Amino acid sequence: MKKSGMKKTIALFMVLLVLMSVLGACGSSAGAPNSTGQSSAGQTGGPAAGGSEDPFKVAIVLALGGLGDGSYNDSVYEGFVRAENELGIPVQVVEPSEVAEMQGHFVELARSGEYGLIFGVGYECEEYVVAAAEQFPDQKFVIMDSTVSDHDNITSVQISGPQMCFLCGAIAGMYSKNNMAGIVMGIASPSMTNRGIVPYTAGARLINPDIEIRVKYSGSWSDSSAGKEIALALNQEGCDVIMSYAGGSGLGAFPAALEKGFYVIGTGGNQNSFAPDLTIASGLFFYGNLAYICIQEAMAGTLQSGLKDAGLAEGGVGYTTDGSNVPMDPANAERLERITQQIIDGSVIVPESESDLDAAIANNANA
Amino acid sequence: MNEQILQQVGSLLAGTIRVFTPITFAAIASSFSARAGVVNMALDGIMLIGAFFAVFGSFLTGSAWLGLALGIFASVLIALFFAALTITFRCDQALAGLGINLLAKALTIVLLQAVWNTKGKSAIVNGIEMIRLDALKSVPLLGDMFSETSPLLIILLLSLICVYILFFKTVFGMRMQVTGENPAAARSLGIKVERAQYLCVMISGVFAALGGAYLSICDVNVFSRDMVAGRGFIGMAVSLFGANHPIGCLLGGLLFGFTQSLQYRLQGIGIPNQLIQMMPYVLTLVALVFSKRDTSALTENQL
Repeated sequence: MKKSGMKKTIALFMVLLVLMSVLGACGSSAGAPNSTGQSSAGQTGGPAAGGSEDPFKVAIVLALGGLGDGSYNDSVYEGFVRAENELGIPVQVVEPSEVAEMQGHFVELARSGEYGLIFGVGYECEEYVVAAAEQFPDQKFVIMDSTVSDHDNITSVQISGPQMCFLCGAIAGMYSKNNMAGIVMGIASPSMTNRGIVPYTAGARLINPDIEIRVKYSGSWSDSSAGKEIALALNQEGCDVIMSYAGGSGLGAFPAALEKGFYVIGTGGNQNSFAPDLTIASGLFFYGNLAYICIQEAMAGTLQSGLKDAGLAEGGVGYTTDGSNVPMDPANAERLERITQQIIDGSVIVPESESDLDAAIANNANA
Repeated sequence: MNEQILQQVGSLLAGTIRVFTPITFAAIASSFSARAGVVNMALDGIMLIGAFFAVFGSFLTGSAWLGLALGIFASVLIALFFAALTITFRCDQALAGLGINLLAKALTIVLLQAVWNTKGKSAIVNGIEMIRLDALKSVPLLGDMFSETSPLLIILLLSLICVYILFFKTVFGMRMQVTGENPAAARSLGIKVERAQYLCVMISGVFAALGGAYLSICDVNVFSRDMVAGRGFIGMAVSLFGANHPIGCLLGGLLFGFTQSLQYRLQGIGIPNQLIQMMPYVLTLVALVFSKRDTSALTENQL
């Protein structure tokens, strides 16, 4: 009796294990349309014509998560596909499965000496890129979304979250009838305040000087139920436009909006489809575009090392109303266009710390 | 003015109910296995699996209820896995629990990738419809709390009653109790200890799935990675706080739900947010320290 019970349990184990490994395999192959093994990185330049000049080639080591994440990696990868199609340059994509692999990838790619530019994505890869950059001073590197600025052969592309938040704030200012707009945030930090709340407030005040901004934290980047709860609480306090800026936790703002009928603004990717009748717009990060620009500049030999700001002027951030059913008054659309231009030419200032907020608001009011 | 305060209290209480529901499901789940002598450290992961498969089922069939069924099925399977590891193979409970929590986190991301080709969130699916009680709508407070009631809340309240009866008024409950308190004595009485433990861990899986599914197909109608966010562990704390007693779970769940809901609403009044966000956890700890009942005392009284 007992033995057979045991056997059954073991059999069940096996079934579970097999099931999981099969699923695991599906998952990774589905997400990797164009990846090659790590060690082959150096040799894939096969057809590189035996001519005199080497063609310009680029390589990228993606962030953990790899292709198919629907954000970061996919977005950067788009830029590579565009470079491949439009500039006709060969690209090499590496998907590391853990952080420990990264250093090896960067060193191998740099050692091969074949690539005009090697990309890393996200802060996780920073230390490995720096190590490889020091070892191979003639190799140029780009890190997307990073602040490494003290190496001659590293360009750090810094996405301007504040400019995106400023535009979202302006949109909130246009749609709020209660003179009160909110933000659903994840975990509180000075950087979220300075690069999120402050520019959002400045943007909203540019349109409506009397608007009040309320902020609540879900305490998590993944807890969507808590995100919903604080969106409801913000709405209860009177906020009728709420920006969701809390990663997965911010997803909860959309069902809350559907329940209570207030407006939301998405961020990161196009989230308009989550609640098309209530999502006014989504603020966007264009990683792909930036990667493409870097490749272009590197080919032309104009790529500068150090920090490279990627804001509205560089096509690094923006917003979209695609997929939203909320009508946008042409006058408002025009106004947003004008604000974008004013930010680019510097007449509208996007503050990035609490102490600059009042000065920026005063300045912008006269712009 | 008065009306405004009433509205705010109403919103606070409505929030309390919404936070209370999944936590209390988790607390019942935890007390089921704890009574049989298994600390269900895998609760968080089991809830996550339940949340995922509930959405997956709803996505496949278009019916949230079939989704719930799939969520329960998947959670019971994982609970069975945990039971096999800890009961049959005598693996350390904390270790097995940790393993399953990590597994659940990774597995749900892999499945998100396989089904929806993203690692962040699923598609939006049909959720379980709220029961609308329009008659209540005009009643202050009660209207806020119950004019739109989740069927899962009703299931929760009925479960609490059933669990009370099961724990204290049935032979099965008594056997379970003995199993947890003193397995050797239980065995000498002819109780099939392992079988009782397996059963309890699996029932624990059912309640964990209900808690997880509440989050995914009742509250936000979408699965996002790691969305359970530690509620399994909070549920364990609540069940400990409630001495693994259904009424204790109910009160603990209400206390936690209330403080959490209050916390969300107190943010932004000038007190540092970090302090306010600590409140539910600090209060639960304080209540735990000052509550005189401990598990054994309560169970003796009840027996």
